[in-house]
Amino acid sequence: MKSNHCDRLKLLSFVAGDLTKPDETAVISHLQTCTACTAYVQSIREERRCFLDEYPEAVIADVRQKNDHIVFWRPLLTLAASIVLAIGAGVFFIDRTPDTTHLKGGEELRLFVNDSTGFPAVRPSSVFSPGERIQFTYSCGTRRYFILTSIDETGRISTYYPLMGDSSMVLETGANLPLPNSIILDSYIGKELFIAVFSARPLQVAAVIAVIRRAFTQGEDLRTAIPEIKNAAITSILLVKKERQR
Amino acid sequence: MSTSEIDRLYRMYGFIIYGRCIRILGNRDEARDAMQVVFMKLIQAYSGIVDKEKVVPWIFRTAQNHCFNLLRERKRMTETVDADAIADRSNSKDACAHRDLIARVMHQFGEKITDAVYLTYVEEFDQQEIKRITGQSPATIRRNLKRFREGLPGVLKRLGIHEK
Repeated sequence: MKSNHCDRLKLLSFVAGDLTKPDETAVISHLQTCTACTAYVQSIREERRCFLDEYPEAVIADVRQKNDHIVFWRPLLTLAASIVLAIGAGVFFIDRTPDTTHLKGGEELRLFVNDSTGFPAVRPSSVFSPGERIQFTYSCGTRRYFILTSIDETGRISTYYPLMGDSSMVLETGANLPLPNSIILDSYIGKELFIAVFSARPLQVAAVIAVIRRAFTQGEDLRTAIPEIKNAAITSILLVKKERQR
Repeated sequence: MSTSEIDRLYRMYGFIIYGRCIRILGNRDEARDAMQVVFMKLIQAYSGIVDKEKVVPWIFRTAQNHCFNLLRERKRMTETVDADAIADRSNSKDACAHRDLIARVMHQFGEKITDAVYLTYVEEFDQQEIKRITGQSPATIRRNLKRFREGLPGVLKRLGIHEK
């Protein structure tokens, strides 16, 4: 919009309600005599109506939950044996021994922990201590894009991979390959679920986190939440962190 | 920020964010993901934007930066069948190819030049509007456009793209 017209940014601000009173009055006065700007404002309002029809709640529900720090796990954990939130082959927050998960498409995630000699070893149980260093290895084929996050009982989500950026990292295709860097377990005591997402296309970390958070807060089975993450395979490994025995 | 405030911001700005993202990315799913990211950034930044008339330019700038970064990171790969993408006429094979080409070319230039070029030639904003979005003065915008025009032949040659 040039010359005698209002610029598009101003008209968008007008529709959003951001203008000061004097500016708003000036725009309203202009619209009374300008059919082009009036048509543009009408098109913006129609665009907004169509957008809210198509995406009324889902997005803001995810964002709302990310914005809150909800401590919801403790009451649920008193029903530990009955909490079943399934993701792919795994089960949320129920003690399980295997440290390897294998998915139908060939993806696999394995967990090793540095033993007293510093050598990575498989731990028979899922019990770990703060300060221990763990290492993941993976296998993947066509689903080469990867995100690894964890969620603990307080709902805090940590992202381990990608190391940088806000979308999936690319993995080298192969079997039993190590993920870069090891992870030193922090001081949190309790259950922490590591969730790995293998996909054929890069995913936004924020979107994956939003799905996980919604599933936890709403007690959803992630297998039904998964359709929002298209073409992805999801697996998980549960760690139970306890104080180191002295 | 309260839930009602987040709702309010979403109703005010969600469609603007989504509109920017779909225009650059050309794919509804990616645009929706990008919208979430930019909206989260808006929630974090909103209270710090004192002059609310600057929110829309902020959205333009942030969405554009985020989406351009996505384009730069996007690799050509075999497309997974996606019903939405097939139905989305804006994601035709030609449009994808053009968009990828533009992304490759633009990647050769710095962010400020990319902003000036995209907002001038694609979005057809005038220089005052571009200044409100990017902070670049009209003189800087003109200089960046000139750099783009002068540098384009060399970039095309480097990328092995022949001018028609």
